[in-house]
Amino acid sequence: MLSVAFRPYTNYARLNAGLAWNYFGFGLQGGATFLPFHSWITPTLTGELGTFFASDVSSTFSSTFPSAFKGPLSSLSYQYASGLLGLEMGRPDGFVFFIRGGLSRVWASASGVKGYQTGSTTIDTGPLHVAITIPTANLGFAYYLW
Amino acid sequence: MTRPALASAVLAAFLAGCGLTADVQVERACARLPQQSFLPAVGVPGLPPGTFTTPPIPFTFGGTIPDMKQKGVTDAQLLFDSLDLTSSANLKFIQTLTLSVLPPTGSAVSKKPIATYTRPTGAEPTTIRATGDGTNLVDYLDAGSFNLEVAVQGDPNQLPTSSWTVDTQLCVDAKATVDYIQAAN
Repeated sequence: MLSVAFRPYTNYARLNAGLAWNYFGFGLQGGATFLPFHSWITPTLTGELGTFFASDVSSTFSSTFPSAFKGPLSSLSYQYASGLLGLEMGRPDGFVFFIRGGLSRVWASASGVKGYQTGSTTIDTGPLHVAITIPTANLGFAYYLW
Repeated sequence: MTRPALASAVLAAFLAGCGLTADVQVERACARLPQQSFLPAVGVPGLPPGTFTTPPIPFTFGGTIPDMKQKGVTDAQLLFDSLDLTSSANLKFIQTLTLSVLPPTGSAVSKKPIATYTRPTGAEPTTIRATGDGTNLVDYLDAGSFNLEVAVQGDPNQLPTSSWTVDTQLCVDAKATVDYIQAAN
């Protein structure tokens, strides 16, 4: 992801927002990080929210979703919220490297299936909804210009 | 146990403890059977009202609902929503219709009524909707399908006197929670 970070008049918190990429496609995300120490190494607590634009996830999640939804899942957008604990290392007013880990909750919906044939039976469905909890890790760096 | 196997078992146990689950829901999945055709009734005046029960009618939703029997699936729900009959003739010969789900062969569960329809007095409907109370059909699934039985209590003297057809649609709501760490192991 590529974000712009902002220190809201304190050394102990940072806000960020920017573009995100998740292998399947692009999205937007924002977050807030709390840093208890203003030092060369500090633990961090981060919360993030994001949304990803429609992308094809049908093959990756084929074992999780019902097979008839392969078509609708080829154009799936989703939203997520994450909570992460991490470490930030480096000059706190300049270049810092960070590593974070935690959990994300992802919410996605796909349009329903129309006219799916199974034997002599025809199936129509409403939308498919998925909420999934997944482990999340962030690895990156930031450079503070001022 | 080898060291890598132990490590992966410990990791799997840790991740399982984090509640790594997927909640999957399919809103109102409806299965339409092929249209059924019936010959005109041969009039035999004076027949008393009676009950006719169909042979088991198999329903399947193929790959449109989560595999409820998959390893790692918890809280599986396949909730009966409604049965719709649409006829080319009026269905005034039906007085009451009872829909029951039949147990799979060798199952401990028993046949269960899941919906009832009673025709309003004087009505001559061409469509009938039998709604239920959201019975969970998961225990009745056998290889992804289940069998229903329709019992019609009615007046044979009111059967259509020309050829007629019926379209049948059954709708359910499906929900499942998948522990995908357990499902993958």
